[in-house]
Formats: sequence, C-alpha cells, structure tokens
Amino acid sequence: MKIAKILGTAALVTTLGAQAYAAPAAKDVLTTYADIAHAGYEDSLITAKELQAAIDELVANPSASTFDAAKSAWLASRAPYQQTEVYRFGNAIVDDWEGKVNAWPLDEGLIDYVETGLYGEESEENPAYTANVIANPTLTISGETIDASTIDAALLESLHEIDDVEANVATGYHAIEFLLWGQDLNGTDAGAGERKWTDYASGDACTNGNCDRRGEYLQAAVDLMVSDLEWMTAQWAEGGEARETVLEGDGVPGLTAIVTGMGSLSYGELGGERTKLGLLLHDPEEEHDCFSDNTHNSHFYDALGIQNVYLGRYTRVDGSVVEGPSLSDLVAANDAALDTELRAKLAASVVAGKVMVTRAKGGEAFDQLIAMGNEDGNAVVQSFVDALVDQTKSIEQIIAAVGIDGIEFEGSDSLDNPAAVN
Amino acid sequence: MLSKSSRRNLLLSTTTVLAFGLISPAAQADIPDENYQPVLAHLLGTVMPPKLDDFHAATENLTSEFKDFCSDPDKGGLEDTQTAFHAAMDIWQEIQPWRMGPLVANGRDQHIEYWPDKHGTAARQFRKLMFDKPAPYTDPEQLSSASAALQGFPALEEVLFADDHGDQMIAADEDGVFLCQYGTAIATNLSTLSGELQAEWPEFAPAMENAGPDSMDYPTAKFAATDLYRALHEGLLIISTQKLARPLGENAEDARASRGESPLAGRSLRNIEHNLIGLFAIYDGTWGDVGEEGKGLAALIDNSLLDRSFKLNWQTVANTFAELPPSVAEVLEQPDGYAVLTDLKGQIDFLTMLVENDVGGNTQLGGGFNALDGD
Repeated sequence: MKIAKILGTAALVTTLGAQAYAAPAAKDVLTTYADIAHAGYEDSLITAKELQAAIDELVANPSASTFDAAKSAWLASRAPYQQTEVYRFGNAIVDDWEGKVNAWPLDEGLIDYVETGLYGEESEENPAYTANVIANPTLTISGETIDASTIDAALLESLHEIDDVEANVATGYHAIEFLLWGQDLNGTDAGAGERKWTDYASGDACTNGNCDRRGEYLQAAVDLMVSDLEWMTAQWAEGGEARETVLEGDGVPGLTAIVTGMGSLSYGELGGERTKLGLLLHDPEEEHDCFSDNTHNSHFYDALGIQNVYLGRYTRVDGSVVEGPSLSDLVAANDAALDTELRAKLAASVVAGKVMVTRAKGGEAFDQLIAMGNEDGNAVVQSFVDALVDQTKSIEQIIAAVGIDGIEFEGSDSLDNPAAVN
Repeated sequence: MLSKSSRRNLLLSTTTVLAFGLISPAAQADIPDENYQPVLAHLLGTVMPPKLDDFHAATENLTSEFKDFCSDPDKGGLEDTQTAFHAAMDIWQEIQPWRMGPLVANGRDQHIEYWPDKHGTAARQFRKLMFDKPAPYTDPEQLSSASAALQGFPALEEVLFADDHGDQMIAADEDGVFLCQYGTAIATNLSTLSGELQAEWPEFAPAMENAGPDSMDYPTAKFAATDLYRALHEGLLIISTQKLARPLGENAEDARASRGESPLAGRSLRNIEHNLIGLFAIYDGTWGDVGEEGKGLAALIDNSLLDRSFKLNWQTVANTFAELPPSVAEVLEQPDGYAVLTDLKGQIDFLTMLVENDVGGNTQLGGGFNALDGD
C-alpha cells in the first residue's frame, strides 16, 4: 500500500481567504467531506454486519439458500465501501488501514484449494503461493512453522501479507469473496467462480474437504472486517482522528486530501491499475472482483464516490442523503467554468461506469469486456478509462483554482494517455 | 568483483553529488510563457525525430535478423539476432522516458515493453501460450491485439534468451518452430509500433510547440512544457522505485536480480544507463550527436552555477553506471554488490531531489501526475 505523494508544502494563497462571493468556508467544505466519510464507513459497517449475519447462518445451516444469501450480502456490502475508496489517497490513516480490508489482487492458494492447472503450483515471488491454510493446521512458510490449528482473527492477521508479499491477502472483502465464489475458471468466457454450498456442508456432504475449517476461516474473516470497519467509522466520527486531521489548520491540508484522493483514484488506481491494465493484458486475473465478476459494480461505485466528495452529497444505503457545502461550491466561486467542466466530466465517468454495469446485467461481465478480440467490449472499458483520465486533468486544475499547491497524484505504468484527454 | 578503486569512486561520487546539491533555487519572477516555446520546439521538433528514426531502423534490422535466423537456424544466427535485440533495446531505453503523445497513446509504450510485471502475468500467459501454441500469435497483425505482456521486448527476450529456447529454435523441434514464428511476429510487431511512433510524432509535436489559447490541448506553452518536466522527473522516479528498488528488495537477503528489468538478457543496468541519456536530453537539449547544449529545460534556468552543478552531478551518476557491469545480477554476485546498488539508488534519488527542487523550482514546472504504480 502506498500513501499518495504530496510534494512540498501546500501553500495557502489569497484565493482561499478572499474569494469573490458565495464561496463556502474551507472548514465547512471539509466538514461535509468528513460527514460523508463517516456515513460511508458506517454504511459499510452496517452492510458488513449483514454479511456477518448471513455468513453465520451459512456456517450454522449450510444450504444453497444460505449460501446464496451470503453471496448477495457480500455484493450489497460492496456498494457503500467502494464509494469510500476516494478517501484512501490523501488520508494516511485510511491508506495505512485499507490493505486489511480491500487488498487486491491476491494469491488465493494461500487460503484454500485451487485448480493448479491454471493457477500453478508455485511462485518465485511468493513462498506461500499454495500454502492452503484451510487444509493445513500446520504451515511452513519460508522455513517458519506456523500453528494454524485454530483459525481466528489473530491467525489471519499474522498471515496477511506474510513474507512481505502483498498478494498474500488473508483478510478483507476479497478473501471473503474467494471463500464464497471460488476461482473463476472461465477465463474471458461467461461465468464467475462456481464454488458449491457443499464446501460448507457437514459430514459426508462436505466437498473439497475441511468444510469446518473453511467455515471458521470465513467467520474469522468477516468478524475481523466488521471490527476494522468499526474502527474506521470511529475515526470519522466527532473527535475521531481522521476527522480532526482534515479539519485542522487553515483548510489547505484537508482540501489537499480531497483533491489528492479524487485525482489518485481517478488516474492511477481506478483508471490505470484496475482498468487499463486489464485491457492491456486481456487477462481476467486483472479484474478487481475477479471471483464474483462484480468488477463492473465496484468500478461504478468508485467513480460515484469521486463524484460524491466533489459535489458534497452522498446517498446512504437507507436512502437518506448527507450533504453540505462542497468543493464544487468552492471551485465555482473561484472558477465557475472549471466547476461546470468538472461536474460534466465526473458525470461522464459515472455514466461510462454505468455502461459497464448495464453490459454486465446483459450477460457480459468485465472479464468478457476486456477479452482479446472483443473490440466492442474493449471500447466500452476504454471509454471508462478515457473519462477517468479526462476528469483527472480537470481535477488538477482545482489546485490552482482554490489555491493549494504541490499535489502529486498516484499514477500507473499502464496509463499515461494524453491522446485520450485531448 | 568490483575493484577497490571503482568502489572508492562510487563513494566519492556520492559525496560530490551531495556537496553540489546544496545550492538553493533563487526566487524569481514568473517566466514569460513565450520562453517555454523554444524549448518545446527544440526538444520535440529537433531532438526527438532522429531518435525515433533510429529506433524504427533498429527494430527493422531486428526483424530482418530474426527472419534470417529462422530461415536456417544456427548458433551464429542466434547471436546475431541477440545483438540486434540489444541494439534495438538500447535506443528504446533512451526513448522510453519520453512518456507523452504517441509514445503512450493507446498504451503503445506498454505494448513495446510491458514491465514491471508485478503480478507475474507474462510468465503465466507465456506458459499457456507454449502449451496451446495458438496460430494467431505467429501473425504480427493478430499479435498486435493480444496481451501487452506477449507482444513486446520482454516477450522477445523470453524467446531469445531463456534457457533452452535458443537450442529449441536451432533444433527446430515443435516448440522451436513455434518460438521462431512467434519471435519473428514479435519483432515485426515492434517494427510496426516503432513505425507508427515515427509517423505520428510529427503530427503530435506541433500541438505542443504551438501551445496557446487557441489550442484545446495545450492552452499555454508552460502547460505543454510541464509534460517534459514530468517525463524527466518520472523517469528518475521509475529508475529508483522500480528498476533498482524492485531487485534490491527489503535487504540483501531479499535481493533478487530476477525482479529487475531485462534479467534474461542481462542488461538491467545497461537499460538505466540508456535511460539517463534520454533523460539528460530533456534537461540539456543534446542527445548523442543530435541537438544543441543548453536548449532543453536548462534554457529556462537563469543561474549558470546551478546549471553547471546539475550537469556535473548528472555526469557523475552517468559515469558510475557506465563503469558497472550491465546487469544487477553481476553486481549482486560481488561481496559488496548490494551496497553498491543501494548507493546507486541513493544517487538517483539525489538527482530526483535536484530535479524537484532546482529544476522544478527554476523552470516553474512541476506538480500533477507521476507515472508510478498504483497498488
């Protein structure tokens, strides 16, 4: 995990203190930003608890229906969480924590059985590539013996990113996703992972062995995730460290955090690593929610989250709305044309994301869209990338418009396409 | 093993770099926008085009060598093809940091060289490729729409330099025949990509050179020149954080040359040496026998002492690289190899700091994106 790079010291210039008229105070903008963060993490917590209850029911009473209910709860939990990802870059407290909850991609052979014909049996980079915690009460990784007889939160935390390999993801949404869907062995053809509910069945009905330990792992993972989300929700509540940090000082650090988050997620992370890279490689392993084929939704909600913080408006999972003075208001007071331009571009990204959602609902998921030879599908994904790159160019201009300086966004090897911006 | 004098020179060079880096940029008035235009014209219009010609010629020669080799495979032909690979890679590494316009449009730079491969995609896809041996991968046109990991220099390196592949091609067994056809398709595809780059640059460059209010793309010359500054800055960051930090790992025990760039061809440090040539051209305006000294970003710096010290620092680092073996692997084999590479990384980091503070400050360029990885 990396913290977004902020080069130099943000410099307060006159625009922040003396806008023309109707400009909200920076503190008010930042209060809205913190309120939306709190609501987003609280919604993530609420839906995670619903997932936790569904998983408890699955483990207690394994069946096709409890299994499907758990998968549905996981899918529902992604919508609010993905809208919080815009808080990650620019807020060190989030970035330092995020890897426990949403790390990706993962070498799933660490956790459970895999189809080695496709996955392989070893990796030069990862000694725990096929460690299979669920099947092995005792593990030996890089010469170290690990007692995995009890699968609990402490074990999972000790295994997470073990050997400093980021792909050793033992916790969070994607570990749970793998335990609910299993590997997607369909390549760029239709279909997600096809794990059976009987992987959690008792006695002779148990498939692929170790069903009890698999259930223990799933429960430990969701319990830990709930705990982690409780902690982050508290950081954005009144008096929480994250809220206090963005509100402290003259407003410049907080505004810098907003812009850094918007730009870095737009450009390097979502546009680059999560989307363009998959397109360049035509590889289903390069999709964010690769087991469940839910990537279209995750990308859409990421884009929506970027729009939320700019407009200062978030619709909660219960339908209520959190809103207040926004960065958009502040930009408009200084450069109305830029605000209009950025609003349009953010909306275009959300629409481009929605096109992927629509295609997925029609039976063409993200891994099919990026397939070699699917020119139409590739174009849909490229349009999303182009929209994100385009909006990033305008996000950069906020820096001058509101008088903050020295921001550097996360970028991506797979993405530097001025032609797409032009 | 590195000689003691070489090691001493490395240490001295670091000291020298540190000493010269203490010069602070002076406060100055805004640089008039028209001052950026000659820099753009020189770098984009005069310096870059001949290098793109060289790159295209090198890839055409590589294609020709590959075809000759595969028509009657033998050891000499393989070596000639490997030599042609190195020549094409040398000029590519000089061009690589100029990440703008047609170089990056539609992911062209990634198609030319997909690296770093953080998720091991190339190895996984290559295993599958050799298992299936699909015919489209022997057709350059169809290959051009395949995974970036299977169509550029790293894929060609796998074909030409990986254990057994050369012998298989010479033996012309089933795998060898496919490798020859696939390798020829990659070389041809590289030639096509370099030809597109060569053809598109003259259309792109005027858009930056003629920056101004009438341009939708570059409303000011300063805005356009920022892309050049970013290329310089990002190029150094990539050398440090990817080309050196990846193989260095967390510590000496964790160091692995295989995580470096071009490990099979044994040229991870040779790549950096050539990167530095292309990057210095952005600053100084000269690139081999092309260009004119002082007409790059340096033209915007009204401080001759700072300019001289920056160039001296750069030359010291470039000389250090020139004295080293071509690969990280060879340096790591030396008893003090890890320390040598760590010191090198420190020197690159110091140059990066100079670019951020001295060059960025005095040219009034900077900020915005960098081209580093997300997760």
